[in-house]
Amino acid sequence: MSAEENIKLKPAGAPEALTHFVRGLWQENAIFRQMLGMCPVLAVTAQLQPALTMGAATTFVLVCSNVVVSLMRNLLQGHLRILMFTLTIATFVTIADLLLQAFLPDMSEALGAYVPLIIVNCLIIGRAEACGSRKPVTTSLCDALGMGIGFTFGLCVLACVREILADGALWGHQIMPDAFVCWNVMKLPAGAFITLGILLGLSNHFFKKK
Amino acid sequence: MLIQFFKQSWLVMAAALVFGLLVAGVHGVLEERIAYNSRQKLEREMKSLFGQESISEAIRDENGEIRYYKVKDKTNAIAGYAIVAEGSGFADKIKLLVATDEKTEKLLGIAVLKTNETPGFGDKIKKEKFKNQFVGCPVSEELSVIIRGDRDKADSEIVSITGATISSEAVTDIVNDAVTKLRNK
Repeated sequence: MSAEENIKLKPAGAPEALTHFVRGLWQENAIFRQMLGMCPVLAVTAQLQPALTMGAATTFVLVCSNVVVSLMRNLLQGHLRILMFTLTIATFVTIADLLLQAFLPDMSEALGAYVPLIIVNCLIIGRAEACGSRKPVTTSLCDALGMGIGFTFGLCVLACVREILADGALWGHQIMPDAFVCWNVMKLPAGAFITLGILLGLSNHFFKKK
Repeated sequence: MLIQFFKQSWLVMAAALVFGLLVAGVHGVLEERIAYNSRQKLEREMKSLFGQESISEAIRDENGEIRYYKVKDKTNAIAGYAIVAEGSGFADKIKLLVATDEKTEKLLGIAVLKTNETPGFGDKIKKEKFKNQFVGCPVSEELSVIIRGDRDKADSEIVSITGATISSEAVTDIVNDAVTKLRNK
């Protein structure tokens, strides 16, 4: 069923889907608001390219699993639902991993074990539980898209800061003057923690509800 | 009892079947491309070591596993041998392609196929500055790692990377093992 048909059938569905989509972008941003999926946030944000690839792969898995979970939400048995979520997520992660190996071999190598580790990203199972298993397909789809884009955005912000400071470059191209001394610590896990901490602090300082 | 069991779990079984078929299908479609990618990568490294017009041929053991590669130049003379060698680095396994001349007396160079060493330190083993030390090294005796020295001189002493002695030693050990394997081929 296409999105258009669905809107015609359920006129109330569209605004709900839209709110879910917008919510994921910032208000309930996976990284800055919910602090979910911290493993890839810390591990693959040393450079922009792998960070964006990770964001795209996570969004792909999130969208597919949320839609599939939403389609079978009426058949789910309460005590077996987590098993079904994991099964669904693992399937799409394997597919994403194979797609990366086939079409972006360099990125697949750079991300290494972190692609299979998308399976244990709490963001995805969290959305399956909170949205996929309760809401109709359109809402779940928009929710997953919003969350995925918000997550990718967070990864990219971190990666931009770290790549500029660590390599003086962005997307592999040098942008800082030659005299710039690269901060090697930004490439290491310590740099990931420092950047994440400062960004979280800033986002709380400026955007926290009074 | 049995009916109860199926009522509870039919969805899990059905989903496992469908998802299994889906993954198998995707794997079947992409398998060839994935294998082609890794062959391409090896081929690229091989050509950077032996020259663009070289042709490599895999020599397999009786089980069909690749043991080493025999590389010929454009005149069809043997240019040398190459072997994929793996060993423990500082953080993870390091995988190298080691190339020697046809008599296994001199190294033609090394290429790094896989590394997960510390960024900024150990991962400098990928840099030309470190790798080029191996070009032209005599391997009649084992290579050794020194802390200070001349990197441009082709001798059996490898100058380690500052802050990454373990990675430098690991690479040198892998090369030594690879040369022994090639010599006893």
